[in-house]
Amino acid sequence: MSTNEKNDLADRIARAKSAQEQTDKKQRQKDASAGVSAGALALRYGAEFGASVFVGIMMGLGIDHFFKTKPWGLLIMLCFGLAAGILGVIRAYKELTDASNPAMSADKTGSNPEE
Amino acid sequence: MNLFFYGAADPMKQFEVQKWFELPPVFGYDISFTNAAGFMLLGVVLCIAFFSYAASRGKVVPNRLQSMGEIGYGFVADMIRGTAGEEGLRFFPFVFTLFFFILFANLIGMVPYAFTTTSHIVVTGLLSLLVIGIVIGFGLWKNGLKFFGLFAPSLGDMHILGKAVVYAILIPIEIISFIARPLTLSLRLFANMLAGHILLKLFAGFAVTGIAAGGIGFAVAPLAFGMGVALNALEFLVAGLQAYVFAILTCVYLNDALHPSH
Repeated sequence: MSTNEKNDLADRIARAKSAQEQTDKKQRQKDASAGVSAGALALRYGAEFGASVFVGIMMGLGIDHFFKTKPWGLLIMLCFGLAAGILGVIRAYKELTDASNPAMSADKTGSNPEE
Repeated sequence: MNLFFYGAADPMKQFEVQKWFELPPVFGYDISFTNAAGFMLLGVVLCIAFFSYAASRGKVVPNRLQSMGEIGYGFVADMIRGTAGEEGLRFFPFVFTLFFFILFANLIGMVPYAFTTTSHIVVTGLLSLLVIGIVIGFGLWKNGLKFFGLFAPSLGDMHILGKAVVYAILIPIEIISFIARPLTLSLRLFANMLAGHILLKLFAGFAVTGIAAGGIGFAVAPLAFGMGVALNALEFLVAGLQAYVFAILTCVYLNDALHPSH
C-alpha cells in the first residue's frame, strides 16, 4: 500500500516536472522569437550596412577634396564601404546566432506582432 | 477646434527643443537652459537620489529600493564580466553611469508631457562619441601602437606579397567598419526612441480625432486606443532594452581596447 502510494507520488512529480519543462521551453522559444523578429533584423542589418556605406562615401569625398583626385577616391572608398557593410552584416548575423548573447539581437520595431 | 486637434496630433511637436530661460551667450554660443538640458538634469538628479537612498541604508535584509539598487549593480557588473572579462571591471563606473543615465532618460520620456532626451541624435551621438573616444584613448594608452593591430587581423602563414595584397583590401574595410560603430551605436538608440514616441503619439492622436470626426471614427477610435496602450507597454520594454543594448555594445568595444588582437 505505502510503496504503491510512493510510486504514485513519484510518478505524479515526474509528470508535473516534465510538463513544467515543456512550458518553460515553449516560453523560452517564444521569448527568443519575440526578441528577433523580422522588423528588428531589418533595422539592425540595415543600420549596419547603411552606416558603413555612408562612412565609405564620406571618406571618399574627403580624400577627393583634399587630394584633388576626383572621382577616384569616392569610387574606391565606396567599394570599401560596401565591403565593410557586408562584413558588418555578417558580424551582426554571427552575434545574433550566438546563443550565449541573446540580448544583442533585441532591437525594437516589429517585436510587437500587431504592429 | 480643428487647430486644436491638429496641434494635439502633430507627432513631431514633442521633440521640439524649447528654451526655459535665457542665458547670455558664451563665445558666441547660445547656452540657454532648454527643456533637453532640464530633463537630462532631472534624470541625473533622480539617478543620484535613487542610488544614494538605495546605498544609504545598507541593511542585511534589504527593502525594495535597496534591493533594486543592488540588482542594478550586480546586473551591470555581470554584463561587463561577461563581455570584457574581469579586466573590464575598471570601466565599471563608466558603463554603470552610461546605462543608468540612458535608462532614466528613456523612462522619464515615458511620462506624458515629458521630453525624451535620447530621441535626439545630438545626445546619443555625443554619448557614442564619448564611448569611442575612450576606446581609442585607452587602447592607445594601454597597448601603444599595437592598438592598430585591431585593423590588421593576423593572417597566419602566407607569402609576404599575398599578405600585402590582403591587407591593402582588409585594412580600409576594418577602418570603415570601426568608424561606422559610433554611427550605428547612436543611430540605434535614437531611431528606436524617436520611432516609438512618434507611433505612440500617432495612435493616441487617431483615438482623439476618431471620436471628434464621428461616424466611422467611433469604430476606429477604440482600436487606435488599444494599440496605444499596447505600444505603451512595448515602449517600456524598449526603454530598458535600448539602454541595455547601448551598455553591452560599449562593453564589447571596450573589450577591443583591452585586447586589440583579433
